[in-house]
Amino acid sequence: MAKKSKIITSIFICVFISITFCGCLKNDASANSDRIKYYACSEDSICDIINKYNNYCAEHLDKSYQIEIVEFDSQEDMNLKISTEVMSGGGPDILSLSQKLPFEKFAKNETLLDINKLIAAYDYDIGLGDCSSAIMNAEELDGKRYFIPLFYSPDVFISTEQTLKKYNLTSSDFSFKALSHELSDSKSTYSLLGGTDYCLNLFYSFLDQYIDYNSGSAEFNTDEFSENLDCIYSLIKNDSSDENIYYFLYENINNGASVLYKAMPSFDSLVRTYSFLEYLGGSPVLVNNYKRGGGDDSASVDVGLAFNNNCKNKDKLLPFIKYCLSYDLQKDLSIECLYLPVNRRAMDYCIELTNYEKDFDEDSSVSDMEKAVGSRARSAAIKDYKDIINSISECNLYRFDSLSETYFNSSVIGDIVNKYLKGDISKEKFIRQLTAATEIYLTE
Amino acid sequence: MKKKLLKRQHREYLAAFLFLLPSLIGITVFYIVPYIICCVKSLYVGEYFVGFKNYTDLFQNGTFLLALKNTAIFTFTAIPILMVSSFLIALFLNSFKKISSFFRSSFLIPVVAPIASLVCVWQLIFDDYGAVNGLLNSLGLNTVEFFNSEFSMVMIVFIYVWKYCGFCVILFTAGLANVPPSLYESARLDGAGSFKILTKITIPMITPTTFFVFLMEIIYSFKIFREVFALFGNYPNENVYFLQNFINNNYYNLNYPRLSSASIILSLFIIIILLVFFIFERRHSFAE
Repeated sequence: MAKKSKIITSIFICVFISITFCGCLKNDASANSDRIKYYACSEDSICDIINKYNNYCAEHLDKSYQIEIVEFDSQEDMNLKISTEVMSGGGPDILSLSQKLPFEKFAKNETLLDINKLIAAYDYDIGLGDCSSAIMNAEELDGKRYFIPLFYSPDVFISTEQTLKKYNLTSSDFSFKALSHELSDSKSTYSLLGGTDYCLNLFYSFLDQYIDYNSGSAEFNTDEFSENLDCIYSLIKNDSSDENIYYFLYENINNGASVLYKAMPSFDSLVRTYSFLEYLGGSPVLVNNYKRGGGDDSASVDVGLAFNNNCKNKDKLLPFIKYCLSYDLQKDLSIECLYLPVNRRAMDYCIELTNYEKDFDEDSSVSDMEKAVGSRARSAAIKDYKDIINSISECNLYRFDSLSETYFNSSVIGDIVNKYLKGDISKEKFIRQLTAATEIYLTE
Repeated sequence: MKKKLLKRQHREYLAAFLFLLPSLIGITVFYIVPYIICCVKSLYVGEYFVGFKNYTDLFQNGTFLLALKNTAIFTFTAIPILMVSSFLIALFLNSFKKISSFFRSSFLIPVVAPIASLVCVWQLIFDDYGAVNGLLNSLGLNTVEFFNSEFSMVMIVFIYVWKYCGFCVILFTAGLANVPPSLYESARLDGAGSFKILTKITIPMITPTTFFVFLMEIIYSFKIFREVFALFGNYPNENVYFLQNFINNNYYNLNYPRLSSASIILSLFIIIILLVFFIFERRHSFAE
């Protein structure tokens, strides 16, 4: 009798375990398994695009093309889920470059889908010809296209000739090294970029220029790096930004209290800044971000996409990419979010749309003088910006404003950089630790 | 009669099998199947079969070799130190007739204490301006950078020994208590000295315990990653970059071929060590 009950108990346990596993299987086979998925932890630009695309699908395509947004409570939960699912052959089909993931490593180990291969396989035109070739081609590695930039921003800051002159500099002969020299000589308090976060991002963009993700090497042990590090460190270390700088932003840029300003990338916001600076009597100019050896003009992707190689419905990705690069979407989102579109026609439209009639003195009417200032500023801003845009030859994967939040900068070298900038470790120790961590990251 | 006996035996086998079945299913589903999948995946890059290329690539990868070297240094240094020190402490404690239960249980405190709280203490102790450096400076010695020099390994070995020593002492004490006192008495009557008793009676008699302690230490040595991770993060300095760091980081980089081949190598590393010790134990155990 006892033996019988034991056998029954053990059978019951086996059945229980089997049912549990069956439950797991059932859970995986969700009703929306044939739909493309995107994971998000907050409402980002990609969610906006997807919502618009889903409406577009309902009208022009069939509903199976719609994209499912899976929401998460935190970035950590989402990234853990992405890692686990991609490892097991699944995961979200669409990835945003704003997600804190090591995209350069993903590209290297072919976790990401090569869009060029996909285009060739389905003989589909996604509208690359309508987009800025400099930006789109900059994201192509050895003929493989893992990233699709949607909106970008040139790596430039706004200043005025008067502010630069205060430090014996001109926009045509501007260099961070000279600025650092002049600022340390002047011994006056200054705000370099109007905020400490911007300074940190400037530092990360400086470090990024010494890392070659493709060849997996870093050049931190050179005299050139050591010398330039001193200059950037001194610029950042002596920065005395406080939050109040933004209350009188244009005045501060104009009188030199804030040396440089990183404006929103749209033509509209640039024209606005130019107009205000002109109105205050300044001569606004654009200066490039720190460039190693004074290289070519560069840009960074503000909103960009990558695609999972495990995607089961690859054919459904192409209409989505085409929609993302389309004139209508690019135009609408550029206006809504002050982005700079990759679609050339959308950019021209945004330039046309820039409003130069500003009520600077806020008396509810735009005077002739204000109109003249606005018009002059608009022409100058568009010319300066177009010159920079036309000479862009490099494009970084991550936006300048969030450089401190990328996977490499926050998880790999974040602690080392913070310690160095706080003065907890010496320069030699910083270079040693930075080199070791970067080399491990690049080669592991 | 014989038939009845066989039938009964079959029934017993069946009952035993059925009782084992739930855990067998668990082990198969959660360990054996993933291990086989991992083995198979280690031979692929994406959808393409590449044979042992992932393994050959790994052995040409400087970071992997660094991780392998550090893991080997840690395993071959920390485990002997821990075994010898805990055995000596156990021998010392065994010389007392009675050890209070409080004293005995206090050995387990480091094992059960939460890592997060211990990490804060270690940071205070080993920091550039911490207790150890304060002591060294007061003795006229230079500050040692425990968190960024070859001394990081020394620090990790120390933490490992400190954490698991108490647990191993308890295991050894239990093993020593099981050695029949009559063996010691007869050895002493035969004129054997303390050293001879230790080498000819104590050590051979506690070989099964030693084997068990060794097994536990191997397992714990791979758990030290938690402490390394808590102290140094994802990217520790090159002196304490272990195989677990390599595997963990490749998990975040989604490099499945590299991750799976490194995992297989790590498992083989453990299996070989255990196999060698198992053979050694079989040959030299006199406990029976």
